[in-house]
Amino acid sequence: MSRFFKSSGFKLFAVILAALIAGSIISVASRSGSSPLNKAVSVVFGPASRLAGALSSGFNDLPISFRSSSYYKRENERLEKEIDRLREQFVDYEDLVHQNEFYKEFLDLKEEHSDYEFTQAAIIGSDAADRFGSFTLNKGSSSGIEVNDPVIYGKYVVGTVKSVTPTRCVVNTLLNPKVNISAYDARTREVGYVTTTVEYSKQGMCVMPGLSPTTAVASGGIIATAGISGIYPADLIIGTVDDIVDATVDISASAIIKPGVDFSQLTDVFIITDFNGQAK
Amino acid sequence: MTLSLSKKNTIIRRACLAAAVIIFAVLQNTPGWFPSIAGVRALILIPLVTAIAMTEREKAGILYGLLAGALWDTSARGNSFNAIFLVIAGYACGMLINTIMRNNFVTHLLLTGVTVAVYNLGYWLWHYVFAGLSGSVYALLTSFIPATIYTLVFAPIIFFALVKLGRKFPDPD
Repeated sequence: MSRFFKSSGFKLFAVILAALIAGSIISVASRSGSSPLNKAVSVVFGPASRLAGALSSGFNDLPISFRSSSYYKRENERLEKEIDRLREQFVDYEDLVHQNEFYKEFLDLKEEHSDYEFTQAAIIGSDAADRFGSFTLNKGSSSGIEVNDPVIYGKYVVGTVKSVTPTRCVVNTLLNPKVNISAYDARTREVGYVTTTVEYSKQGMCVMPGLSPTTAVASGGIIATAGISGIYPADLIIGTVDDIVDATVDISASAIIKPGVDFSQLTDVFIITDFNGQAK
Repeated sequence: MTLSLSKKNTIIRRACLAAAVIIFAVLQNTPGWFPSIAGVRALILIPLVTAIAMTEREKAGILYGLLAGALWDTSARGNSFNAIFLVIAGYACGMLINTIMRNNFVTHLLLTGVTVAVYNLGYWLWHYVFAGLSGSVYALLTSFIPATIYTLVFAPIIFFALVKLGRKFPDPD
């Protein structure tokens, strides 16, 4: 047994494990949610991840052409080239439209709330083990991002920053049951909070529990942030009410909410790094 | 100064393994690069580290586990959970092959199955059961068990690819 503990393999294992555990403790103590190893690796491999993320979105936009070997091959090739050229133009146009919409919504928000400070970021990764749609962005503490900063798309809430390294950060979306946001119904002004459950998260939905049994909140109502906790500014849109259901354990009612953004389609987001009333 | 053939083979083989770890990390953690079935994604770094530990033994298992886990953690919450898990898995698999188990496909499937199951079960317990989330059994049945099975589909491919790599660049012993 003593030979086992004195073996070089065990010593290497013990040293690395102790260093990793120490790093984890540091990450908890520093409240950045990232260990020193994670920070170092994210800096070193950051460009590779950014490249992979860019290629991934690039591949999605690639037009696919099938070539014929028949009598009409040459004519087909000429037409395919023409189609490819037009498709590329169309993809470029769609990209511009998308970017234009993205920046227009951002501009509207900036004009409405001059106190907001933003950082734009691109999605470059996601944890395969996470079932709640969390993702990694290509901006980190060097861009002024901190844990709990709100992440938005236009006027819509996406989630909050969970952990930060110098060059990237991980975001928990609204589909994570650990995310709770104080919210209100825009029509009735009824206040509550929005979260989700494992089942609703899998369906891409959120829930606003604890409403009175005679609530006036109804399908189609717009749910917005109340700004009470200081994590989110007020009046950002969370989503629309899809249904009102009775709670299973008490007499209250819950509003089932469809988030305003399709998280699977997101490629770029904005992080609000500062706003009036932000909790520090 | 010239390198002996065996040393050259070892360097090439291990460089290929390091490249494989990086490529697998990118494939696993970049959205849209690896097919997900009903929202379930394969954790392909686990069978890769298990196979490396089996073919290269415990020290390589630790180091490649560290590399794979550290890369995985850059897309996760960053508390080195994946690095710690894969270092332990790499060491345990390498030691088991060194001492009491044979290095063949059946043991690879067994070790990978146990490792993926332990990872998913641990993740489920920590993030769902201990976190007090309702619907955790639903998540186990619809997400974690399918993810374990989906990951195991890739175990044979990875194992035989590494065996082939070992035969192409063998150690003399």
